[in-house]
Amino acid sequence: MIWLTWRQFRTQALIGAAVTVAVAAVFLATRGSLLALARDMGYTGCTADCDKLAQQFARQAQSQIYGRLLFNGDALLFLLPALIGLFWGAPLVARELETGTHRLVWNQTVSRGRWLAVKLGAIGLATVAVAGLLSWAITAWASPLDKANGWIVPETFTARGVVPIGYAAFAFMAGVTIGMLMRRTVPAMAVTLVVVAAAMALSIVVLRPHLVAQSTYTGALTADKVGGISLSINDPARRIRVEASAPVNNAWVLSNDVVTAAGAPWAGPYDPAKCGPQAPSGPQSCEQWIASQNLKQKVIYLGPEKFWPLQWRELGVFLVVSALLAAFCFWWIRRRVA
Amino acid sequence: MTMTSAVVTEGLTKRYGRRTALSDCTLDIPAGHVVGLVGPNGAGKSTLLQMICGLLQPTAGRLTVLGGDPISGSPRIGFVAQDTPVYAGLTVEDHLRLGAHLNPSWDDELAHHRLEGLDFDPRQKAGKLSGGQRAQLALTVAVAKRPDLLLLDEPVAALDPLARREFLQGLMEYVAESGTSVVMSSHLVADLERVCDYLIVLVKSRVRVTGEVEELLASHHLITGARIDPAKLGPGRQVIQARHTDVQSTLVVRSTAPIEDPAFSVDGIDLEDLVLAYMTEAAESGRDRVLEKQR
Amino acid sequence: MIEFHLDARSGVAPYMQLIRQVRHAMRLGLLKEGDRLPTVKDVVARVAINPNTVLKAYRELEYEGLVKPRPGLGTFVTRTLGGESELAAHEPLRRDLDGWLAKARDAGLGDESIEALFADTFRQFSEERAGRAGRRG
Repeated sequence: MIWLTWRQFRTQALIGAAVTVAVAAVFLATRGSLLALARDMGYTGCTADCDKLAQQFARQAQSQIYGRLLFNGDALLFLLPALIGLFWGAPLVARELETGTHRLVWNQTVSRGRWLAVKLGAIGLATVAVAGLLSWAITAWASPLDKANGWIVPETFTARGVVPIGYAAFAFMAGVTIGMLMRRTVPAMAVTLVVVAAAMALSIVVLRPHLVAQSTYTGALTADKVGGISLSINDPARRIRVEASAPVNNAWVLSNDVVTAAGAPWAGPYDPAKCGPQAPSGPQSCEQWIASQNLKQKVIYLGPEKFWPLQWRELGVFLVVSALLAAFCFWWIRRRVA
Repeated sequence: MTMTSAVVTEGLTKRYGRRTALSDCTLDIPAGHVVGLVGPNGAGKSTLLQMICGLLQPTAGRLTVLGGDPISGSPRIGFVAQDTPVYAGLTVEDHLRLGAHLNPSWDDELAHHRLEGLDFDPRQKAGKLSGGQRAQLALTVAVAKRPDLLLLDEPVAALDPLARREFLQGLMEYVAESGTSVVMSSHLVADLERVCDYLIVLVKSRVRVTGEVEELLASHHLITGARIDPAKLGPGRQVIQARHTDVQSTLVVRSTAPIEDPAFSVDGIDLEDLVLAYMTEAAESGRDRVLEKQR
Repeated sequence: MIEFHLDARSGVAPYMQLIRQVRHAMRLGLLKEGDRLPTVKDVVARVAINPNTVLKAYRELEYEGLVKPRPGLGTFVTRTLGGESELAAHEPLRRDLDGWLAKARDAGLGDESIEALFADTFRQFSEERAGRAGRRG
């Protein structure tokens, strides 16, 4: 059975291995020079003014080839689960059912359980290996940039550490399950794509913020913290929206609100004499008026130190879901399929 | 059930929602025979074969295969599915390796000997084979496993006459040397007539008649005579099919005792006409008549 | 080694056809005493018929005393049916046949009718002898 699995998966495995090795090689090759750049710009081992140095380094790296590499690396890891689900997962059972070869192979001396177990085990292992190696290579390469830019924000977090392994394993099992239920390869690929994208999006928006304890910052809203102000002069309720930059570094901001001293969200009414086109001294009078209102800024966020706990927990969730899908597949394939 | 039964079923039924593929089938298929399973398309032949090899689960009734429950992936059953599926991307040799790796009872010498005799290029991709070659490859994989029971689902339906003949030659050669039980389905009676010694007729999901071919041919007669009411033929004579003109009746009658009645001209009937009689009778009459040979 | 063939449309039972072909070959001198008949496996590999059919034919030939199986070696012919000498030994039968043919002609039967009458009577005679009445298939 192992021979058969290899023989059927051979081309795919070689493509996967080639891509993984090539990508890892590219990133490992440029790692040295990226570290050199960080050192030369004084960012590495900085003792003072580190935020400014970080920004300068990041901007410089972005303008050079590292910007493109970073973008492509992130994109690859974002797309990897879908690719694995579509090309390794969906056809696994669907293709056999579609071409009728299940009537050939399931009449050899092998139980359907063993057939599925070897296939899932071998290709699942390949999935974990590819996702793990690619993620490791890119995470290691990007570490100076991640230290400068922060790595807990969704655009980066999703393409770092161990979470891509969880997504890839889930996408693989989802593809297998959908293919087994739909019995047709191409429609199964389409549905798998939608399901994987939706699962990743849902995880980021709904699940991830709640997997670790969230941090809250509450501080007085002073005039210098006020950023953007937006209001409508025609609004009878005279609502005003104030934006203030969050004083948390390299964090993932989940919510950033202006609240009253009691903690309730504040949205005006504004004083038209101080804010708006009729205000005498422009936007500064509005800012000072706002500052005089005794308001607070409440920021709910996840800081960069939460990276690894969050990674392991999200990985855990997706591995559990993958295991449940696998169990379902074993049950279904023995009872329902012909 | 006797020790020499390959398959025993009792009230076997398979339903897909509202559609019934197989209805209340009771069979005792003897071992050591080449059994022909004949009937029109959609009669339930594939369904029955796939239940025997464990690809489908029955909805109701009992099924015993080689003395035990049917299992998927049995070491003792070989199956050649309709349209003889093969792995298009794998070579001929790969298919034999597949068989060798997945079957402890694999006879590699037999497999290679068969394919050499058929002039196969082992490195040819199976997707590039002709229909006849695919059928031979599928048959080779099935027989090299040395099964006790070989199931063939319309193996020659899509083949040209030469390929069909070669397939049956190969099959009979294997049966001659191994004595394996074979159940072969077809909607062409002519092929079955050469090779089968036991017959099951399946029409519209029901079994119509079963029995040893020799016995069936001996007990069915074509009677022609003056117009007569079939009910008046007398005891021990079962009318399978009746056709009347205004003056004449032609009946297909089943009777174990010979019919020596001067009022009729009595003739034998060949297998094709026998099957046709049951098939047309099943199509025309609303009643489902289930006939069995008592073994 | 002789080869068999099957006429699927002849209306004669397959095993019967094999028996006749063996007898015919013996009569023509193609099979002599001590010659081996093809194995069951070789026959069905050529003719694509059920092996039991061949076994039945060989058993019937053994019953008629024409062949004898030797375990492990094959089935061997036990007699030689000569051509001329065989027929010559049945001169009285030939004369009877001549007389019958003359009578048939006098009754007004043409060639085809005579052949048909003979074939039909012969067939019924053989089948009755083999214990199966009224069967054609």
